[in-house]
Amino acid sequence: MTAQPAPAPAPQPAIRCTDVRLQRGDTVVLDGLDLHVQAGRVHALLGRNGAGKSTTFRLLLGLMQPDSGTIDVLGQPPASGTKNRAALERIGASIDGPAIYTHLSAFDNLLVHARLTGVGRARIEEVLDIVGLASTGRKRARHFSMGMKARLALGIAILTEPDVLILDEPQNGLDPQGIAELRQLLRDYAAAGRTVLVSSHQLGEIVQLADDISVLADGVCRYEGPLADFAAPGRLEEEFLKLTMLSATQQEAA
Amino acid sequence: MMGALTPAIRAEAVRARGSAAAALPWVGIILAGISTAGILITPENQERAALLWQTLYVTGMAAPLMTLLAGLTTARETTARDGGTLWRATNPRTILVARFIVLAGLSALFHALAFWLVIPLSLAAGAPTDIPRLLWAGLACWVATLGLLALAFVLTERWGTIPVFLAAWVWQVIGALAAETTAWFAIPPTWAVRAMLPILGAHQNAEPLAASDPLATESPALALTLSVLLTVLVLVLRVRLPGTLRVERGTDSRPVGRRSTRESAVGAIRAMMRSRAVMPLCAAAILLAVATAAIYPNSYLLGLHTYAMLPLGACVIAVLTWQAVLPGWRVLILRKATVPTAVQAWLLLWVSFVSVAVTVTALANALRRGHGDAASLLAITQSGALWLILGIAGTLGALWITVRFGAGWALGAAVILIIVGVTLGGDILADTWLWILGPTAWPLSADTPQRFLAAALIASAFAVLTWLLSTRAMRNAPARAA
Repeated sequence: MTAQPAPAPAPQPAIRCTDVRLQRGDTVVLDGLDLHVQAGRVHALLGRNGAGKSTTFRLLLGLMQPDSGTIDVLGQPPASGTKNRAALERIGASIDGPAIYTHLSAFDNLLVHARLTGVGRARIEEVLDIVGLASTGRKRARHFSMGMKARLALGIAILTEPDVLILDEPQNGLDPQGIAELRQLLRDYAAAGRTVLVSSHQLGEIVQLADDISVLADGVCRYEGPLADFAAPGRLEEEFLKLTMLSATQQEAA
Repeated sequence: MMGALTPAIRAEAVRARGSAAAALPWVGIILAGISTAGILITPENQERAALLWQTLYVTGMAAPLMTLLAGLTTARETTARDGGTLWRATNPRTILVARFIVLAGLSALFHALAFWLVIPLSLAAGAPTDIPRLLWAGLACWVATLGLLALAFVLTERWGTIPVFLAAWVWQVIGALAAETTAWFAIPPTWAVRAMLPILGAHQNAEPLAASDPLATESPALALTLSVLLTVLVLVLRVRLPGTLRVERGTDSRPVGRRSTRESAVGAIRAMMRSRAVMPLCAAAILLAVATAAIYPNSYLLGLHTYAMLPLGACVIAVLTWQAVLPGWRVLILRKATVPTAVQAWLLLWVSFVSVAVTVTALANALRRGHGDAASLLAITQSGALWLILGIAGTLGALWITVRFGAGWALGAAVILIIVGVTLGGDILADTWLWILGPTAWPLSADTPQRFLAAALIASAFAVLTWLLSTRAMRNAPARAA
C-alpha cells in the first residue's frame, strides 16, 4: 500500500482581511469584511457607490485603522501611522483618483517617488514609456487630460515594481486604447506572479480583466471567487445588480 | 531617521520646484529694488533709506509673509494629496522634518535676496553701504523668523492657510506693539521684532533709534535664542505628540451620506451666500474701523484701511468666495452662463459696503474731533472714492488670480502690493513720482487734484480690466480643471 501524497497546501493569499469592522459616527462602513486576494491573479473589487471599496483600499494601505478584525498584506499587518512603514515597500497604489503635483512634469512627479524609494532615473524613463507618457514627460501635469493624469498615477504605482498593485478605478478617464493597454499591463503583472487588486464600475472591462471578483454590499463581501463561477458570459451586470439590489432591499426591510 | 532624511530632503526639493512657495522668495528682489530706489531718490538720507523697508518688513509684514510661505507649501501638498507619497514606506515624521528644512531654505533665499541684494545694488549706486550690518541683519532676520515659520507650518496644516494668514496679521500687530515693553520676552510675537530692532537701529514704529537708547546696544541673542527654541519646540511637539500625524489627508473617510452636497448648482449658490467667513470678516472690518475711530485720530483709521484692511480684505473675500463655489462650478457654469456676474456682484457688494461704511466712519470721526472743515471732509471723501474703486479693482483682480493661478498667488500678490504700498506711501517716497507705483497707497498719496484724477482713472481702468479677466477666467475654469 503506497501512501497517498498529501494534498498541496492552499496558497496563502497575498491580501487577507478577516472580520474587519469599521464604523464612522452612526454609520457602519464595514461590518465584518472577509477578503482573500491570491497572488498571480487579477482580483476586482466590485460594489455600488459607498459600498466600502475605497475604504478597504485605505485600510490595506494603513491610511485608516479598522475598529476590529485583522488585515495582512504579504504576511504583514498594514502600516499604522509611523509604525510598520516597511509594509508599504512592496505595495504600489493609486486611490481616490490621481494624487499628483500639477505644477510638476510627469518626470518630476515620478522623481519625487524615485528619490524616496531609491529608484534610478533610467527606471523613470522606462515607466514613462510603459504608461505612454514618454513624449509628454517634461510637460507640466496641469496641462494633462484626465487620461494622461490616470496614466501618470499608474506610472507612480508601478515605479518600484511592487509585488502588490492596488488601483482604485484605474480606467477612469482613459481612452479605449489606454484601457486596452492598462488591461494588458495588469494581466502581464499578474502573470509574473504578482498581485493585482482593482476596483471598477465598468463591468464590461472587468469581464476582460479579472480572474476573481469580490462583491461588496452593506459592508460585507457578498461573493468572493472566480468571475467565471459568479456569472455566465454576458450576465455579469445582471448578477451584480441582482446581488447588490437584493442586499439593498434587505436593508430597507430591516 | 537621519539616513532617510537626505533622500526625503531631495524629494522635497523636487516637490517645491516650480511651486508658488518656491516663487515667493523672489519677492525679495522687488524689495531690494525698492530699497535701492529709496537710496537713489533720497541722497540726503541714503543709509536710512537702505534699511527702511527692512524695518517695515520686520515690524509689519514678516509674520504674514512667513505664514504665506508655509501656507503655500501646505496647500500644495493638500491639493496634490502629497503626490501619493502618503502610502510610501517613508516615515511621515521624516517627510515633515524634510519639508520644514526645505521651507527654511526658501525663507533663507528670501532673506538673502531681500537684505543682501541691497549691498551690490547700493554699491553700484555709489551709496555708503554698511556691508557687515546688512549681512548680519539678513542672517539674524532669517533666524528670528524661523519660529513663526514653524508655527505657521504646523497651524496651516491643521486649520488651512486663510485663518492662519489672518491670525498672522494679529500676531504681527501684537509683536510690533509689545516689542518695546519690559515683558517682551514673555510675548512670543515680539521675539522676531525685538531681535531685529537693535540691528536695524529702529524703533517699532520705524523711527531711528537714538544712540543713547538702551535698545540700540541691546544684544539680540536672547530674542534669537527664544525664536530658535520656539522652532524646536513646535517641531518636536508636531512630530512627537501622538495622533498629530495625519496620514489620510486628502481622502474623505466620511460615509457618503455625511459628505458635502455642494457639488450641485443650487448647493454652490447657497455655499457662496452662506459663506461663513465673508460676512463676519466684513462685519469685523467695520467694527475695527469704528473702534479705531473711537480711540485714535483719523490718520490711524485712514492708514489702517488703506494699507491693511482694504488690500487684504478684498483679496481674502475673493479667495473665500471662489473656494465656496468651486466644488459646484462645473455644473453651475453649464446651467447659468451669467453666473460669473453673480459672483462678481457678490464681491462688489461687500467691498463697496465696507468702503462706504469706513468712509462714513471717517467723516463722522472728523466732525466729532472738530476737523469738519471743507478741505478735511473733501480729502476723506476723495480717499473714500479711491477705496471704492481700488477695492473693486482689487477684489476682481484677486478673483482673477485665484481662479487662474490659485489662492496662494492671490495672497502673495496682496502681500507684495501691501509692502510696495507701505514703502512708497511713506514719507520718503510719496513725494516723488514713485507714488504712482504703489496703488494700495493711492487713497493717501493721491492728495492733489491731479494725482486724484490720475489715480481714479487708472484704478477705474484696472477695475474694468479685472472684471473682464475674471469673467473669462471663471468661464474657462472647468476646461482648465479637466
